[in-house]
Amino acid sequence: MTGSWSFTWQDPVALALVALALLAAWWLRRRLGRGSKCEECPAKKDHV
Amino acid sequence: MASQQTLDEVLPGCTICVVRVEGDDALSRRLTSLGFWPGTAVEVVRRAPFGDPTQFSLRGYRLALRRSEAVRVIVGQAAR
Amino acid sequence: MHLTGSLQRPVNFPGSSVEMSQGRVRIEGTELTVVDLPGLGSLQPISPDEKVTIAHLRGDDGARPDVICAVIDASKLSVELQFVSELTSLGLPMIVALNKNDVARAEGRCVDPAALEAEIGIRVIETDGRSPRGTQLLGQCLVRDEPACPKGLPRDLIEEIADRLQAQSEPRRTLTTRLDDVLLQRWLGLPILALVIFGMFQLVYSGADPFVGWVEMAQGWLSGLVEGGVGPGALRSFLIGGLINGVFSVFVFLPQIMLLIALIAILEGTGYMARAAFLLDRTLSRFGLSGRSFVPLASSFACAIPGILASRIIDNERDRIATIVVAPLMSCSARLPVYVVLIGAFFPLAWSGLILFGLYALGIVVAAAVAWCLRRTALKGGQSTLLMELPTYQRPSLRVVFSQVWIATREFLILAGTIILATSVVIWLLSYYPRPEAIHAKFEEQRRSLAATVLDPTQRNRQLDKIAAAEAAAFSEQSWLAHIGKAIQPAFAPAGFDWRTTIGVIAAFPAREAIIPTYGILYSLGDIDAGAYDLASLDKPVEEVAGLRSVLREARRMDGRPALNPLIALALMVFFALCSQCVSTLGAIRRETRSWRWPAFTFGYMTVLAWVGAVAVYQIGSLMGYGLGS
Repeated sequence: MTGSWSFTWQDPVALALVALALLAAWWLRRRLGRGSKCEECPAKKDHV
Repeated sequence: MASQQTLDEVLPGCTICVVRVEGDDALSRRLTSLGFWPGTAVEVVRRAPFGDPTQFSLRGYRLALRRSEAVRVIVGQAAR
Repeated sequence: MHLTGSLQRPVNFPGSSVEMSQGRVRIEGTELTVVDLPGLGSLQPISPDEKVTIAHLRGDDGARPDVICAVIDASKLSVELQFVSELTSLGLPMIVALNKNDVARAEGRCVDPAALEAEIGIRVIETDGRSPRGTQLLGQCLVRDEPACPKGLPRDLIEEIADRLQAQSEPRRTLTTRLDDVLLQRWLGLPILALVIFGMFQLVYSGADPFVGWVEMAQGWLSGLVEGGVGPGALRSFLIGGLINGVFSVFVFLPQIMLLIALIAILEGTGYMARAAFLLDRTLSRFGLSGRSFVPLASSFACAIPGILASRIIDNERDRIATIVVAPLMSCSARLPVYVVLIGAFFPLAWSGLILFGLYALGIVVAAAVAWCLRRTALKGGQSTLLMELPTYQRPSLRVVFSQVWIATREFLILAGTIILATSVVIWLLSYYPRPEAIHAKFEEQRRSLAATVLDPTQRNRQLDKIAAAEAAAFSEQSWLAHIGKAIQPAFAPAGFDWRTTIGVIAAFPAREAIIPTYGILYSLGDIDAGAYDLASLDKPVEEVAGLRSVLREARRMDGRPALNPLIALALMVFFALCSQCVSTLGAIRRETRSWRWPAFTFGYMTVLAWVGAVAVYQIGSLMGYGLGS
């Protein structure tokens, strides 16, 4: 992995988009994540 | 007194009457709440392909019970 | 469901609602909180879901409800009234919603709500689960009137009331009776069930097939646009290989998943599921599962997570855990795209239904074996009950089916979709870098040599394309991803996997479908050793790449042998069928069993079984001559 890499203007743009895409995916999950189905259900406090 | 048997012994196609539910545990309580009250008419509809469970008809609906569950219900001939 | 307009699931089978769910609705200026609780048979709970309901009614988890709305089934009037009477002991105001009166009417046994109200002293409103009729009235009643705390009634009185209000029908030859005579017939029952299930799979596969082609076309078109608009480089590669690839991989699965969920929902809605459980109870019990395991396991064919949750209807704890631990073996909808792509690439269409069925059957057989072992060792003892109602056959409500499909689609898009996209992007990153100047220089040299030769424009362009493809492949060959893949690949060599398939399998761990875009990135490029590549090889014809399926067929290893063939594809599918690759499922198992032991066990045994299965398939197949040969 040593030695020079061939970089163009496209590389930083692509990397920025990678970060953006990951952020967007994470944000979407947070905002619109699962409804009541699998969240911590208050009724689970009771033990079998 | 009319002859008594357990529900699992009754052949498909017959209709008999509940005498009582045997036992005092969760299963017997659940059977009671399902409608197996003294005097209730129960029709034995059919058995599943391997002989268990069995389909019953009572109180307007259809219920499937295993042999191990039906054996708790004591039945006899209809009094009326 | 109709009160709040929100999307709950009134389904014709126990276990449809195993959790509390809440919604708010505004009726005539007053805001109501509506809590939907799992169905209850009596105040003595027998399974975890019923305990949830009791706890809420007693106020164990917060404030007690202000009003109880008891939804009762008109065709079982006497039994339901008995329970209503039990409920009065809670001392809460009550209203009765008389449901399924239309079904009772069809059987000649409908109940007059006003008369019933007069008899039991509780407000009775007729409702219909499949339409908003009566719900408006119910809402108004809740808001305007002050429902009273009713008193209980002795059982003989209840029987008398029921007899008076409900015409005792002679056992009529209703549609339900006639259908059951066929569907539950001694010799026909199980074969019909097998046909229904097989038919479902064939339908899902053939229904999905055209869509896979269309989406591939759309993806190709869009990628072409980008290629035209952006010069070669990291950005173009990211847009085509990371972004478009990732997004379209999510969409290509959508029709299949929607179709599968719709079919399961329709089957549930008709009431046939209960019949299936009836037919299979004996068999399931033999393997240490409960007849009540049928619903959770059947649901797991769509997604294991609601299936695992549905296991709360199983009263015996050991049966329940056994069910939970084998539920992920029911090939979930996430595996379907993998099956579809691989079967489509390597097997004739006529075989597809059979192979698909075989894969699903494999999961079922292995699940039975695992459950059997567990119940004889770690989970010995005890037995749950069946006590299952066989509901009247009904035309499933399209509204309910749509809502179930919509809920599942939405969850898939958001939860699985984001993971797939993120994984695709990360895989792209790892496969694109590093970008040593040395390789670039080498191919620049090739281009210079080409410029010096004499060729007509079309030929020249084709050669240039080849150089570009070869250059991309050479970069990929030394990428970080390749290093990872090659390091792990020896573990999977006995199964016939090359390093790119190995990477695909690893990439599938966050979300199974992520293997598809990963393959899109890795296999669209050949395996090329930059050092050995020279101008002479340009004489070989360029393959027209038309979609992932043909890409997979044409892909080659370093030594020229195919990267994949039907046997390897089969081994790969067997791996997927048996492997635990869904973190969310393991999370659900942890929540439901309240310990780390079971999810760890599930992950362990499934991964081991998957590896053994894939290796066995490949080795045995190789002995029969279907392998790659050396």
